[in-house]
Amino acid sequence: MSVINALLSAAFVVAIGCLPLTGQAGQATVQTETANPQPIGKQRTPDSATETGLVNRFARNQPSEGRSLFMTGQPSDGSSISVLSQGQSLPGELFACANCHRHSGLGTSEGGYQVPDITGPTLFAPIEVKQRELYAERTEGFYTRPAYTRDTLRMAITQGISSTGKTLSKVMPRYQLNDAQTDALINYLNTLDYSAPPGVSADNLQLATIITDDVSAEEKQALLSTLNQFVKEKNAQTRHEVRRVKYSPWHKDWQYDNYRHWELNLWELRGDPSTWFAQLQQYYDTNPVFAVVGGTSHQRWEPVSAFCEAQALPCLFPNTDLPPDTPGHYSIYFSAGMNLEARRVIYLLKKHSRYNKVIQVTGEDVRSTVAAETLARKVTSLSAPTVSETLSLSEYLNNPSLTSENSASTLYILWLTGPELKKLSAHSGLADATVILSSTLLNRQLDQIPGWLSEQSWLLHPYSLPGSTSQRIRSKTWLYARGIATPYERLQSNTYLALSVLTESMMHIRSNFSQDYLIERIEHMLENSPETSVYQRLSLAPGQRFASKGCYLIPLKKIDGSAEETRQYWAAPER
Amino acid sequence: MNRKQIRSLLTNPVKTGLTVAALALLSTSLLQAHEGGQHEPAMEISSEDSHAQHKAMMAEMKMDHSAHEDHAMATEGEDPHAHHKAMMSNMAGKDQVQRSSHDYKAPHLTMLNQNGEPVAIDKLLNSDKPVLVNFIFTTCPTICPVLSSTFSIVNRELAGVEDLSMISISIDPEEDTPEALQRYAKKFEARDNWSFITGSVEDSIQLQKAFDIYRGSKMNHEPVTYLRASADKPWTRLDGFPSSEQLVSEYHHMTMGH
Repeated sequence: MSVINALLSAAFVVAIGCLPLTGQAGQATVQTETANPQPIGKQRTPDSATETGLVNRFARNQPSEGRSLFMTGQPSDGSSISVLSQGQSLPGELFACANCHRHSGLGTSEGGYQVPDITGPTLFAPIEVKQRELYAERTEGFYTRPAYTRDTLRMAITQGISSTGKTLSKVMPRYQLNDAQTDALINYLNTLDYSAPPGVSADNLQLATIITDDVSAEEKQALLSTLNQFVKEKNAQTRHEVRRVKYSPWHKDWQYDNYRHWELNLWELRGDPSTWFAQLQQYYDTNPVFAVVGGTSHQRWEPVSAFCEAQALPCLFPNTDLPPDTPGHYSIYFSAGMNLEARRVIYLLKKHSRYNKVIQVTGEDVRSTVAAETLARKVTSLSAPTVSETLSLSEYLNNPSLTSENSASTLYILWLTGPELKKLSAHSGLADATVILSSTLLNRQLDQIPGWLSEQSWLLHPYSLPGSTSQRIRSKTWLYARGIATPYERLQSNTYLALSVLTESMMHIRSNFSQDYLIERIEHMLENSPETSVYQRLSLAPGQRFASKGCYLIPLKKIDGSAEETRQYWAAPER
Repeated sequence: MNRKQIRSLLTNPVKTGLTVAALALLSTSLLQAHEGGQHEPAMEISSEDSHAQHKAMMAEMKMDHSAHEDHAMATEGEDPHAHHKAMMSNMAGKDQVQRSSHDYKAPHLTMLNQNGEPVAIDKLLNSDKPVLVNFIFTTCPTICPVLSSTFSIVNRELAGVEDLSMISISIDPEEDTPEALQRYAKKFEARDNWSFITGSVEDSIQLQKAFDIYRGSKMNHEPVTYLRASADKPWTRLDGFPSSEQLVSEYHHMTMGH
């Protein structure tokens, strides 16, 4: 009987699956700033957003003794505490609570070690998993336990005794804190309360994507078509997931009650970057969002990242070649962009001391200036004395004496776009020199490199090599199947990836709407994600903010070589 | 398998063979769901899974065959069973140290130490003197700080011993540049006989596989310590968190027997 049932159900599933997508679609579209910022009937704060939740959200970001102990393992005056780990007394700063339990306090897992949730609301409530009797005994202590009291919690922190009276795992150090310190720490744990998250209502999740006014209309269209289609399909699916909360069996409700209808807001920034912060603040104050995802700019991303840091707002995978060199906590980037390319040259200089002079030629593009500045700054820190000189393209063209400096010990880095490179054709003086070009500035269109340069040129390429287009097969197939034109394939492929990763990590955070936890899940899962991208390898870990860390510096003529041949030219330079 | 996945199976340009295979799998899973006595309607079968690797496996079904081949190429040289091992080992006892003996063979690879100097890793590991080895990464939040603190204490307590060499190998070599390892070494007050090893991702994976510690992602890694008295002896593998006293006494025990 069950076999027939199953087959019938399978046939039914197939029939439903054949329905055209439009039949399932929700009505998600990116809202432009001209749209009504306060659509009627949309809640802006969750039903459960208690006063306490809001107060705690504010309090946990304020400096305090408890926050200092939690985040750094040190009292706020910079003195030291000690911990007992395996009977050894060790400095507390090696074992800050936030290391394992993470900034959110919601815990993690590593190699089969489960690090539990130590947020106040969880600790001071019992854990009573609805388990069959059979399993109850086995799971006691970890999966079930009585609520902690301040006294039992103090025992757990200082002696390693849980509220069941059992000994905690030895991975958990025993913190040698005095009563005042323990109290301060417990007070901080109580602020780890995520009942009033920004941008989350009972039904909706507010997201934003940021586009600046230097982005062309075609590029913007390519980006938005990808974003809109993804969110539309996500919401079409969510409609049913929401229904599952009502009808799911008792043990599944926790899986479904976190689903929200995604609303993607377009935050367009105009004018001078120094005004972006205020523009962002205005968007955020009108309609707070839970996270910023994707988006693009050809200018420095720093003003955006500064805003996201100030708001503790996750900013996930923006398309920028100019992220800040020192990333903050709340922004995750595909790569360090032009700074990575500059550092890759430094890596070469360290390895090959035969170059004692670097001549950089910069073009009009701001990315060119940033790369040259970073390289010039890093050259001064090299142990072998190296001279660096930076010239604009016109300075270089007007100074023929420089071409006579060609020698085996000079390295030319041409931070130029394709059209700019073409202006060099008269300069045959470079014909014998070692020349480095940036594939990012060439927009990865290598046919723009003049023939006379291709013999001796090396290419900086922080992506997969051109031959390995199959790495992007998932996003290509996705875009193709939906009839979305791909004039900006890298941008669209990155956007697809950013949203896929966000979808997956939102599923993992379940009802814990903590923005820190969102970041922590992405740190944890990215390396395992099946998504492939234009980048060679994406991977994060706690505190890592650039997912792709390496860059090719490869002779142009070797670029079509096999993986074994080209591997040696890939390296991840020191930051 | 949820509706979206089912739908994308059918809307994506998937080769017929794969679709049939997927549908066969689908009906099997429906069958299991029914026989398992779950009361949810067949349409509502959940794809929720906290294991990213499971998702990866399921997601592979969405790709066409060429994608599958290239995906395999992209992760070339990785252990296809790594995630099974990761899941299996999750069930192992946690606080006890498990001891076993193995004939691991270090591959011939040129890697880098924390000073950026090239190191022949097989020569380093196949020393005729005692060696103590672990696998770490510097941004590891939970396991490595404990392993490295233990190594740090052993390194200090056996400071008078000249022939011991201690080796920590990074499983996140692109982040763990020689400079990053140098900072890490300083943090744990490493003496000269404790070296930190990095290199290419491919080489690091090859080395992890040689010591059966590769688990597909660094976030799945496990605490393991390896030791042996000399190259002609088998490796002793300690799974779990041995204390520094235990490692010191292991050292004395193995050198007495040497």
